[in-house]
Amino acid sequence: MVKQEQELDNRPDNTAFTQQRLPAWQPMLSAGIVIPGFVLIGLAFIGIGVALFVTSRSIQVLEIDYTGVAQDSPCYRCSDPDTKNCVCTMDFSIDTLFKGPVFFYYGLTNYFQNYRRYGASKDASQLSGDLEYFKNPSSDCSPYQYDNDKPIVPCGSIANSMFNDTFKLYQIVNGARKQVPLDGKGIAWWTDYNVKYRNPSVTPLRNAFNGTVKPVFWSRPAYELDPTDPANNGFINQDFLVWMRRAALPNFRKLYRRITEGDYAEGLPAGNYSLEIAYNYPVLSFDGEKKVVFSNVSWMGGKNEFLGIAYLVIGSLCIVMSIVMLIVYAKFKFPEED
Amino acid sequence: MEYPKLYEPGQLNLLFNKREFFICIAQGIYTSVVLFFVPYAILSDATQSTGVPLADYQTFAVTTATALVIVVSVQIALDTGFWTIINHVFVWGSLGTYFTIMFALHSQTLFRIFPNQFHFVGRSTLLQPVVWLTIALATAICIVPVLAFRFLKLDLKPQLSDTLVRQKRRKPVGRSVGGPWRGVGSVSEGRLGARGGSRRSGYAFAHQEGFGELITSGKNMRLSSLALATFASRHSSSWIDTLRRKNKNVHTPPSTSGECSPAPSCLSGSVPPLSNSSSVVGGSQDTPIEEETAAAPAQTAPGSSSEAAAPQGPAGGLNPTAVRAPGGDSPGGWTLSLGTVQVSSSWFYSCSNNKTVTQHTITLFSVDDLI
Repeated sequence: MVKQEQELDNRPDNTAFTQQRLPAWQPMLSAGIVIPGFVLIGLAFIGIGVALFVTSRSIQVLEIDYTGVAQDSPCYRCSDPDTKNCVCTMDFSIDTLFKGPVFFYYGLTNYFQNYRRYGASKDASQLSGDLEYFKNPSSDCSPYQYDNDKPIVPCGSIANSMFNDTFKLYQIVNGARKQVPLDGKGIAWWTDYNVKYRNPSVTPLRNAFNGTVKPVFWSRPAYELDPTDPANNGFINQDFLVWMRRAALPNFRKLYRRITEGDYAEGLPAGNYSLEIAYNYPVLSFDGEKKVVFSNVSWMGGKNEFLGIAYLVIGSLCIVMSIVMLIVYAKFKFPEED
Repeated sequence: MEYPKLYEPGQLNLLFNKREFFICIAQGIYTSVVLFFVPYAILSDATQSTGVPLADYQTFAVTTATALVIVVSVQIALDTGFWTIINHVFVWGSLGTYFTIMFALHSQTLFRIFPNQFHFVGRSTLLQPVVWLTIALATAICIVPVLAFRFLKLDLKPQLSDTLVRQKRRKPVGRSVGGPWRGVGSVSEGRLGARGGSRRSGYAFAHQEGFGELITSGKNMRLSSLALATFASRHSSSWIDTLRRKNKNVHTPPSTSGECSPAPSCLSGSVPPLSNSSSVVGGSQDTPIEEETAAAPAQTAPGSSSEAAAPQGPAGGLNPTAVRAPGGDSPGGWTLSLGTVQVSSSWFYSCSNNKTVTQHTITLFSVDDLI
């Protein structure tokens, strides 16, 4: 009797969970679900693909390479690493109205901002305005941590390699150059500008940088990055922020300015233009290229043909697959037709 | 233990062997390639609607990681055949946990405390429609082939467990109740025909009544009751149909009268085991299939069901078209190539005046290999 009770004690409980009697849903890949499902997915993808493709087609892009590799390029003489403060001018023309707002990008090729050591080489505490780290930059930043025993602010490779070409755009109207206003506000991520990067709360800002030096490659210290706009200095300088947001791929574009004001609010009218470039950034040592890109945007962003085409292809593949499956299913469902 | 044949794939290592493993690896490689290159191709040129390029490291990483989690969850959902509440919790929960942790790790508070460890990503990445379009595309490219393969495999090469699930669905038996599957009188052509669409089934039910009632009712056969089992072949149903049809139609006297009078006892030749072919029924011919058990026809030989010994002696040529070589190799027109199926059926006929209807039933089959 006792033994039996002991045995009974060891039994698992008679609940739905322990006896594997939980209610369950047993879906099955039946033809009635899969084939219409494929058709639906195919149609949806084709629809989206058409919308994306048509939108992408309507976007205008203009690329101008100004590396100056070829000898007849206007910027050839600037590509010599020994020349400093070189200015070159590239002329181009636009056939039809380039609808606004027009976005002005600079592009680099063969530039690996996604390299691990490069990407880790910065001090986020310093960049969020912590004065402690002004004096002791993090060792992640080496070799751009100290310069002659003085701390570098902002430290690290990413900051040191900041892109420093500047551009001015002129339209040639009746033989005279008319400057196109470029707007540099709000080109960085809102979260970068407002949360991630903060200036030390010292006024004037230059006092916070006492006892530190600027990065080796820079020509001006961080608190003087933008002489025209005092609010655009320090770590929240828009160009600095755009540069610090590392690109994932070796051929990338970064936003430089927008063309939205004045006579050009509707876009760039057809005509001749002249781009004046202050050529400072050396890329030939690693076979990189520099270019300028003008583009307008739509609800889905810039020109992206791959997206539309990929959706169309996948949608049609789905439809084809569903037809194949329908044939197979019908054929095997009725093997011998009497 | 209701369906002992279900244990076979495990014993024979059919579901996880080197081939399956490499197929899994191949699918993994394909998915990895898709999950990297689709965001790569799309985001390399993409911008937000504000013009800010989307090709930065964090957007790329978040897109790829989210696509990965979603593809894996969908794959698991496809593989789950039996969704209890626990499955639901874990599948949807893992998706939810991913997003929760991502938002938590990349929130402002953690960033303020440890700026060097928690890089503040911000939520703006996931608000971009291009990012979600990318994720949807990558998911579709990864999952659609899997779905298509599965569906086709289910139709073309069903496994025992699949057919069981399907048949349980068709005749809902209490889920918690085992019990032998009763074919009962309804196991007739009609029902087989209905099920015939599935042309599949491959299990032996020794305990099933099978065609017993049909036979005993003597509608188209005059046989004593014999246990029947379903036949492991793709065209089983139609095979049986043709069988029945032939039986109805065949009234021709056997070709050799000499063989007309096989007493049960003489049906004890030995017939070599047949090799199976799926085209059995096909039978191409009029040859009724025959195999007989010499054992007293009148009995139900279900007892020995599971292992039908080599089917025994062909009863000479009841078969008008004598396609089969007596004794020799497999009876004409009837080769089953599904592994080795040894079939033994019993003849029963009354041989009066050489005008008889040959009747056969299949007593039982043992199926060695279903796939």
